[in-house]
Amino acid sequence: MPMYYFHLRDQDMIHDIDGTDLADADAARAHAEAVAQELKFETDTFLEEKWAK
Amino acid sequence: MANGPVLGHQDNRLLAALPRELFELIKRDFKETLLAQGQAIYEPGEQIDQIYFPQSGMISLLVVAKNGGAIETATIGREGAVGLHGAMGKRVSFTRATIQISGKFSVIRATAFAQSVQDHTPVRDLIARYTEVLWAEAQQIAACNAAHDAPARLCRWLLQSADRVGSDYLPLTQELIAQMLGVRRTTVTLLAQSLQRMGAIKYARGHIMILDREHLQRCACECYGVMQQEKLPLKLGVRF
Repeated sequence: MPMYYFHLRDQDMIHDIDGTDLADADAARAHAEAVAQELKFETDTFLEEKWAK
Repeated sequence: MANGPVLGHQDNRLLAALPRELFELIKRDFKETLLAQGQAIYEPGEQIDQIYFPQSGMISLLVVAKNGGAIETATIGREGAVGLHGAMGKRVSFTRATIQISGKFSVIRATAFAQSVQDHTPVRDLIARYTEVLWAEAQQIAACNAAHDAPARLCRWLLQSADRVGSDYLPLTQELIAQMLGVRRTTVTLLAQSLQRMGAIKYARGHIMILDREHLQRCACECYGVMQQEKLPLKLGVRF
């Protein structure tokens, strides 16, 4: 299974150094959305999750 | 890496709460054991034959699902005990219990402790008081998981764990923390990185070192204050 890394860009960039095994890009998107939900930033700052194989 | 002097059995809060003379009476039934991370203590359904009072180190309780998967649901350190109700009669374990952090544990056979419960009111009262505190904590944690966000809950959980282990060094995986907080492991990694950037912790795969407790206290939700060591028992009117 490919390993996906989810980096967080707020004002800064925080790197996912561990990675997660996921089936495909769809699973990665779902995972990213879930993580964004869990992080629940209250700021209006543009928040983006990048994932890289 | 323990904080403060090492006392032995008295490092466990419950045992320290027993009247001194009484503990001297029942002390000989206890033994001190070093137990290593990963060691299994109970499987669900297994009879409770020994009771564990952590002095240092930590025990994880895991609910085992029908498909065999296990989820961490609670951690017990020096503030409590595992298997305590085995002293109330024949009991089986509801969860799997494993050593999560290596340490020293005071251990007593359930039948021996049951005798103490029968012979000495303070011992019986101790179990009742601990159960009251656990129930209040369970409610607080349920509310916390429902209402508070992951960064605040992580800070609360790190502080609580450090208190329970008696050390700022926590050899715990992010997978464990993710399960305890009900979030994805990625979330824990990102939050830990963020805390590290702010100098609150140092972390690597497999362990977290708390560097700045005050920072974590500022970031933690109010639940840390509510459940902190002796505050909850006092709030309930329970004396340990």
